[in-house]
Amino acid sequence: MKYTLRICGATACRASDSLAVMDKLKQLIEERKQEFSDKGIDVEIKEVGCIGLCGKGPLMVVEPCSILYTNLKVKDVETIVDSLLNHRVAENLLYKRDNQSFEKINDVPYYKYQDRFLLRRCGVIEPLSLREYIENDGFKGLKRALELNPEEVINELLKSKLRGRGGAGFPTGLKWKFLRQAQSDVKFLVCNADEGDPGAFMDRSLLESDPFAVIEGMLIGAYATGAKKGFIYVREEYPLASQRIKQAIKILRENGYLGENIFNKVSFDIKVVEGAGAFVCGEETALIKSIEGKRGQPRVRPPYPAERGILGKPTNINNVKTYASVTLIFEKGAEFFANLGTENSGGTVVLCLSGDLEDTGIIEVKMGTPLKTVLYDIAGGSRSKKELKAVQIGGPLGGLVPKELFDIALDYDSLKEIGSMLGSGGLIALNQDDSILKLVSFFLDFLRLESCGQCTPCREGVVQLKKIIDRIINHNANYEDLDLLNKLSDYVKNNSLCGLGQGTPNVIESSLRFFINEYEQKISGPVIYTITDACIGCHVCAMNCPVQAIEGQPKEKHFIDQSKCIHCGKCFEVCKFNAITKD
Amino acid sequence: MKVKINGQEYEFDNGLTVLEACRKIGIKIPTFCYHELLEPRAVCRLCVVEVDGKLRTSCSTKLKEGMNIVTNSEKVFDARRTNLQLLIADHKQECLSCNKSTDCKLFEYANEYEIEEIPFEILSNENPTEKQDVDDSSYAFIRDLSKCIKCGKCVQVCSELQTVNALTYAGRGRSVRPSTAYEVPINQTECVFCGQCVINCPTCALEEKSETDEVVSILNDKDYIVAAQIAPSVRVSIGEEFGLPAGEISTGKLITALRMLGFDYVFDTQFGADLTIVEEANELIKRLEGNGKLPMFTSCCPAWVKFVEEFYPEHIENLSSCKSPQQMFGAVFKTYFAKKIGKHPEQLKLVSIMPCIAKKEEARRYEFIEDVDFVLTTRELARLLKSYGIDFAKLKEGSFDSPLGESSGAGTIFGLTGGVCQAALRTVNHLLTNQEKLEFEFSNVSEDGFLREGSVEINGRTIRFAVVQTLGKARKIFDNLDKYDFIEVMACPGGCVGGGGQPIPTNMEIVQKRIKALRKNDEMKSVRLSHLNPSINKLYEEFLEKPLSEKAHKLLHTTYLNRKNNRLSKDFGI
Amino acid sequence: MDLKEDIENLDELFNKVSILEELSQVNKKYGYLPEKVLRQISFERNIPLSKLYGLATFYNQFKLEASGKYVIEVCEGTACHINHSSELKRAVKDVLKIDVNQTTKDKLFTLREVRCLGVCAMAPVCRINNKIYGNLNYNKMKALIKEIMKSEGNHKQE
Repeated sequence: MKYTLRICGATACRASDSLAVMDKLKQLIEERKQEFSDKGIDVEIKEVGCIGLCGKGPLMVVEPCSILYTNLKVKDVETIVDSLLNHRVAENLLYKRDNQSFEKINDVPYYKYQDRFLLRRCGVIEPLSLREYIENDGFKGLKRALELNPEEVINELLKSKLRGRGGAGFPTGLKWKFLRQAQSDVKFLVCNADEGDPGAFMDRSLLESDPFAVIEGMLIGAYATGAKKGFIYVREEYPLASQRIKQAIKILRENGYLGENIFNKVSFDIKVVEGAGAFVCGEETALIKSIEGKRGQPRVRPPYPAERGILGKPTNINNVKTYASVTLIFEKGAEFFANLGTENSGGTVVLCLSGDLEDTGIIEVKMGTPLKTVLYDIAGGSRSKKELKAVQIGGPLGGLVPKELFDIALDYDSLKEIGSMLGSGGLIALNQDDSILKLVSFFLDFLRLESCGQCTPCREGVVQLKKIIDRIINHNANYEDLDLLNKLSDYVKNNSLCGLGQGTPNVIESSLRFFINEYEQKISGPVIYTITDACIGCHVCAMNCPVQAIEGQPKEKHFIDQSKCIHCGKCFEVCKFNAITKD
Repeated sequence: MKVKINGQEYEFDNGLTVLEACRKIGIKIPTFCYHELLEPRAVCRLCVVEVDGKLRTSCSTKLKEGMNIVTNSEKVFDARRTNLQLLIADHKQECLSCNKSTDCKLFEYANEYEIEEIPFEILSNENPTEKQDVDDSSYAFIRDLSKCIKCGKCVQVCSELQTVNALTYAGRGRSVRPSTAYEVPINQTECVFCGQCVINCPTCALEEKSETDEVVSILNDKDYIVAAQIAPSVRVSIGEEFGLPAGEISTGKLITALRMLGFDYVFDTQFGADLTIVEEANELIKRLEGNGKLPMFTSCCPAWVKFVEEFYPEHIENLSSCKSPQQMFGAVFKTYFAKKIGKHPEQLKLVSIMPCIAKKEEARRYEFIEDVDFVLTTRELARLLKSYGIDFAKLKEGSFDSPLGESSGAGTIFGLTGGVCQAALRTVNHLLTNQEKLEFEFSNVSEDGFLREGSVEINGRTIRFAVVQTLGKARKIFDNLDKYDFIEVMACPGGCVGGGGQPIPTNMEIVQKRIKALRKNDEMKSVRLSHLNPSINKLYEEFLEKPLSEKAHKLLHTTYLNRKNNRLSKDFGI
Repeated sequence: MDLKEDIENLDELFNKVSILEELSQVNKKYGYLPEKVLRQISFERNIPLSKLYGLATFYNQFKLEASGKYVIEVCEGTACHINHSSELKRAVKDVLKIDVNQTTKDKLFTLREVRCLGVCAMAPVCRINNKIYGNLNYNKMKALIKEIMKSEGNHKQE
């Protein structure tokens, strides 16, 4: 009997000490190896990439029965070893939802409702095992692509209806066509792994878990467009991803998959460039500047990168998931990919779930899947058991989907119609207690710090937008400010030089569209005062409250009875410990 | 191709941008960051117009057949107004006392677009940078970041046009600012004080350092005899500050104005220029004979001189040892002239009126100790005249004093690019062949016009010369120096008429008009070769003996510093 | 750009260590970019110092001042923010008495905010000298800091 233990070693699980669990397992199995050999049991331990249910890590899958174990700690190792020796399942380590346990990973609701294609090898193979990669359909796509001529490759791509997964959703086939048509003997392919959107980490995951797939996609791209050199731009906040992809490149070079005359049809080599911490470098022209070693300041377009890119040469930039999708398309066929999706975009959508959800992590569903399937069937609804108020998709430049629209289809166009955006696929669940306005303020703060500062609308406009929002949050605004917010939002959107400024108003517009009531509460409603955990129980606020609405024991956290509160703000005034918030 | 602008159809050549097309037909579009010689960056977003219904920056959008352009809709005005309001909200409000408010584009546009209320929070009190705002470390100019609108033109010019890179963009977001490395004072950097950043700055963030107060003080001090020397470029530009058209020669009025201010003597830097030519032409002849390094570089542009000292110190010996006209004049003024009027040099004060801010630094180089006491730019002088209530356009024509007021045509063309080279060749040619040749053609001109090459046969010897504008272009000549014998370099486009102290606006069209005026000035002169200037000859007879004499060397020639070495030893202790 | 420059630039871009990479290495080695080192690089690579300063002040990663021995980076991604990353900063302030971008007097700790580390499922998250800690709260953060202080054999900060 052979057991294979797949343990996740990607960044999130590592942060929960999955490697320590793995080491302990190895150690204990070694110590008890006599017992194992007596029973004729062979145990192989594989460190794999991201298994996907990051919120419940460290994760492990036991093959051949595909049993999923979650939330592993070093002290659980003993239990696991015993369970293996006795061909039993460790009950307390199984995934649970609503008091029901699930053994097989494909039965677990989180996984049952997913359609894992791009992520098919993540968490299954050892990320840097070329042998395993090839055994699992690796390089099938490349070989098929090389049987066609470059124009045919691009036509297949167009047929697949693949749209750029970086956020803009531009048809990838068209982009490659532009690069192919550019007249130059030097062309570049760039993989944008700058994933600056807070809440998006699937690019990191892909690079850590299935790096060869990304490179294979770039190889197909090189063949189709005529590019001979490529760059993978990884943000510096992803050291493991950067390390993995560099190792992957080295392995492929040593085995003839990168360099000159690969299969006698294409020459291509890749250099990994690390970012140095600038969200704006996710923008194409800023990324190009960064690769050239300059400040990542976007420039005016046209000319587009396909015409003039790195060092003035034609360049094509695609997201990590896009290249991985290319690999999938040529492995399984353009029609297959197109059929997974909707009328206007083929394939699947990879999302990162975070916020108030039972299960968080990386998931993959067919393009067009209803949002509510993701939130409730897959993610198990709100973890805090409060009502989910809205979902924020697409990062700081994205938009909101209110609960009334939770049955919306997850695809580029449906979301665009309601003023939201699929973006990079980061999805954050908000419950009834989360303030939409504070979220907007947070995003504006992020964007004003990340703005490159070149153009007036963004540099000055975003700062002023945040000031207006903060005035509204602090009950210091009137309806004229709302008008000003709208007008300035419009101005920044229509006058900024690059996508950062142009996209900043998205979340504002989205919040105004669906949560105007929160604005109105701040403008004309009463101020809500709440005591936070910073309270030390000095009782001064209670003594000053004109209606005795505050209760609490000395030296313990106090509470305001909202039904008695007259919103005078006296408690806020007198608290010396900043323990009262004003809403 | 045909396009529609504001409802009317027009036909244009290919390759124009919307901005260029509009300007051609007489529609003004406001800009901050646009520079006609450099690649448009479209960062200020002020030049937006409606193109086929969408707002686009006109400086970067190329014309396409059938385009529908609208420059005067409410949508466009609204966008521009908001842009200005945002900038004013983050700008130090000192307009009434600000020196440059008459030249300030922000002020001008705010008026034009009738900005009354600012609906935004005033941020100018929340200084995003931690270091002090004002840098007045140099003699040439002052940097005040509180008035900067982050158009980036100064950085672009310093980096792309002049390739000096003393200024960079530092920081990000609202803390983005044009800065020196480590925010050190500008006089500690490689800045050559060419002044192109100053003259391109749309606000008062960059401004020349004023010496007006000190000049007024000595004018009012009866113990001093104060003289003025006027550079060639000033006389064809200062009229612009008083409503006269660009390229009007106002020499006479200028002289009268200076006398009204209280100057005891009004002299001509062109006299100094003639002197420079006599010395330099003789020096060139000597070098051609094998006595000195070739090619010889001109040395009258102080920004160019510092550029060589900073970046190409191995070529310091190529620089002519001659001082600039300003400095030669100063040396002669404080010795020869002092003696002539029987005064001690300490009783004499000399004020230069220059189109240039680098001259302010030049006058304070250690080698020149107080030959020139103060330097006023064209703009400074105009402001001073206005504050005295002098109605320039109405003044009567005056004339220069003797003996330092007489000049030849060769002296006057110093103000334009190619003029120094031409003046020198006139004298070299005449000295060697006794023939008067006034024009020297160029056989090769670069696409941007900034590098012009030519050659002339003199007594069987071919002298190959080059005339360069802008320091960025000057770097090109170092690639093949042995192609040349004599090279003139001017840091400013157009030459000194396009200098950092000139009236604003200074663009290529206006510069061409000023150049034309100087050429006319040259043609009007009876003497057009420097060494035939009678006053110059008298100077040699009475005082200097002969060109390149020991006395001439002591007074009129100088040495240079290896600044690169100094920096390296400071940084690395070598 | 002429052909000779083309080839040189391409070669440099692909085969040599780029300027950003070199600055990154320096930053990792010293914890910041010392002025002396930047001047050296400026000389060796013939890049104006002002341009290097421009790079250093643009990218988040580069610091111009030395940090403490332990750099506590609290993640300010959306998920972490919603999950009260502010509590982590409050914990640091309560124990070490420093705010963001400040260093303790004994130069042991520096507090910084960092952009999303991509570990959102375990929000709120912080990184201390390249080790990531997730699922934190006020008390866990306090305990973490005290553990480090203990290992440094330091007496409690007043």
